[in-house]
Amino acid sequence: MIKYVVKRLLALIPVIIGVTMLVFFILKSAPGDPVRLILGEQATPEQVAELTEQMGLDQPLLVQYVKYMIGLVQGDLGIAYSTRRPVADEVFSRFPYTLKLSLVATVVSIALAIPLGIIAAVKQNTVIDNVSMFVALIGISMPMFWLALLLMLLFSLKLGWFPVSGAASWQSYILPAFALGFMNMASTARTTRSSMLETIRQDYIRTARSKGVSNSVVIRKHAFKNALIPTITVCGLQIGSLLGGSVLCETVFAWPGIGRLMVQAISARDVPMVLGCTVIFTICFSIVNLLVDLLYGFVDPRIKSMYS
Amino acid sequence: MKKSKRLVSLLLAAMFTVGTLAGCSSGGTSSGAGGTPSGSGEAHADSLVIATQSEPASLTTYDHDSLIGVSMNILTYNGLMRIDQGTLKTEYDLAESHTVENDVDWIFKLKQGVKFHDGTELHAEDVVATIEWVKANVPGSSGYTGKIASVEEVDEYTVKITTDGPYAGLLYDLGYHYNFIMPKALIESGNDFNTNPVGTGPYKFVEWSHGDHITFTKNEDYFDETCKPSITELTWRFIPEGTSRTIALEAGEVDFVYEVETTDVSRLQSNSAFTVAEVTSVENWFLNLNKDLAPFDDVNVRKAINCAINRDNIINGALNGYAKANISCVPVGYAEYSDEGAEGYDLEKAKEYLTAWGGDPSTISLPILCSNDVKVRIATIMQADLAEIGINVEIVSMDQATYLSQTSSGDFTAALTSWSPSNALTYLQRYHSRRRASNPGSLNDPEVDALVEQAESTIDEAARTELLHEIIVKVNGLVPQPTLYQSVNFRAFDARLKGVVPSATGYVDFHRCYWEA
Repeated sequence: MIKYVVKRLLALIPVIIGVTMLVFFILKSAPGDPVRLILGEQATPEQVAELTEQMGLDQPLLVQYVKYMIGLVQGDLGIAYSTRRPVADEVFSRFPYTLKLSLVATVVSIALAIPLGIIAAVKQNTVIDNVSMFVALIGISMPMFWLALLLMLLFSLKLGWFPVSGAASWQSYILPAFALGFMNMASTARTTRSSMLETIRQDYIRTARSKGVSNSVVIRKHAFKNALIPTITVCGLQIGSLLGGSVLCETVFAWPGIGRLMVQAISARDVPMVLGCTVIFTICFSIVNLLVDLLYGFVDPRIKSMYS
Repeated sequence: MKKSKRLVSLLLAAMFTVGTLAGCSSGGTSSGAGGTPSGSGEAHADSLVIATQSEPASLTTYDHDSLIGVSMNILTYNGLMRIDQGTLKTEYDLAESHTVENDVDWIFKLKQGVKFHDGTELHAEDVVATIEWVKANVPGSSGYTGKIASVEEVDEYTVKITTDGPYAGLLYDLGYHYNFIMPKALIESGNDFNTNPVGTGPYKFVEWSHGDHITFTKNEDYFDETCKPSITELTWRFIPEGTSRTIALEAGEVDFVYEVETTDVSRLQSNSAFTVAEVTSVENWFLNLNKDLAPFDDVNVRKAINCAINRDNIINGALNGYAKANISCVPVGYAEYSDEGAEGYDLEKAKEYLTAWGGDPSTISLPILCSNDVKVRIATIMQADLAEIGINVEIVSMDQATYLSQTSSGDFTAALTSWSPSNALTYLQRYHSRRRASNPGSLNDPEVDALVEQAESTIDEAARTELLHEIIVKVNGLVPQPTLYQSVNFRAFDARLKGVVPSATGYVDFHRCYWEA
């Protein structure tokens, strides 16, 4: 098991090199000059040239990339073009907010989706099934932006329960986490439902029922555990997508997370900042995938035996 | 189990239904129960929370050139001069008087007893150290320090600034953020003014939570007895989404919205709990034509385009009516403003100008670069207007970085852009051909060049005003860049907040604001 984990972690190195190289050269090949964005429209060519040299942007692209990678190996993510602050300071001060929001949103999503999926499967083709899947459909169809504004109008403006924006207290997490979680709930609920439907038609479920085991025990102990693997996969993928996909949510709720930071950095052609955010996302996504793979082992001992 | 399942289903259905219904019923009723700031009618706490769209890139005076960055700078720093936000004229700030000798030596007497936030007193050496350091280290500052040949300390409270030739714009330049004064000792010790901005301003920096807020507290030792800050704590919160800022104001979470979404203006105006201040900005929007390309080098073609554009359609169709039409080459708001020699919408005249040009208008291709949705909407209206005289407009949409790259390299035919300096001289310098280095395709007229140079070197204000008027009339007749409109800025705030004077330059002097008792 440990050998497997170490192997997976080592595999991160080529992934990070590949991802940073791709992002670096794509950003550099995009039109637009970060120096122009900093100095503005009225800057003279001399001013532009001077700042370009100061920022090291007059060097060949390969040299710039190699310098960046040497810094990265030493834990230095470089200096942001737009703010002139160390990228590491910016990224590490903002990342915990995104991580916490993503985790709370995942909990909200799972707490809504799994009961919804199970109920829909158990009560297949009934009104409950239709209502559950309709709610799931709404979740996937409703633009996050709109849902977020509705939540603000109701819970912040009308009822005054939760803050409109910021991350000052635990109450600040409720609305953005619900908005994010509700979106992701839909696919988890549908996956749980179809996985449960497949499982409850298995012979061993029929056998359990014929032996007189109560329906709730059949669902909880026999069906649900075996139907979990696809749900875990979807949840794992969702944590990754929540990390990167929380940009809109962070913008609407003025959440001081890394998603907003990355979008600002892309607009400003702030290559070191974009790369810094990308490295963090890559590591997180890889770790979440690893955890998902390990979780399979706990749910299904047959998979665990394959790790050794 | 059955009971709990039912409960979960009911809870979900209830949450969803209530949420949707509340959202649907919110339109146009915000001035109701929820539409009043918390605690309305009571005395307000001794703090002010301002919601703004963007976060400053830096708190230094020199690492940015953004409205929000300067807004932070004017809280913490002062220059020798300042620009009065009402009249847009210069007035003394850290300086108490000045004299000009030989048209190039400017002697400034400093106010005495002015203290920096670190407790040290302001002396002439701080002024010298600041200007010298900025000139030497900040490439972007050359527009405001470039004319300064030298700066020296005459005595503890006297500074001599020598310009490289007579230069009338010096007082304005000294009021720009690049020339805000920092303590010499901190400059020499390599202080990071981004994390520790130390100036003489009415507010002291407290903390910056990146991505969330910046807090300032009032400077009890502020030197200007006429406008000592009243509100103790000032917090700027960064809320990028316009509607979220409005809801935050309505919910009482913030007291002041710096940039109000135009779609929310009427809603807030109808609510007596808020004041919506409206000010026509000096930000002048125009169609920048590349005059190095034929046929836009021909004044008749430029005049035809200018006369074919219906500015009212642009304002009503693309800007929700929130702008002020302008036809002059300088914005309304400057004391020197004049529309003499300028022409507005007149389709017949436009056709006459094309006839005078003598070419076939259908051969004119006019791709307009646009860097955001508003510009695209404006260009779309212009496309219909110019089609009336047979000119074919193509709308080219791109992001800001690409837009700047193309306009600065001269790789464009036309672009929608704006310019918003606080004084007429700086504005008119744009029409001097030396600006072609930074603005390729701009005007190249020897007569205008000579007039601009003459105005720059005329220290006497009355004589300079006459010259500026002459330039304006001349440039209006050349139509180098058909002017379209001036932006209208809205600031919305708790009605109990008084002393708010929104400026045409976009800034608000928060140290002059106070809560109604």
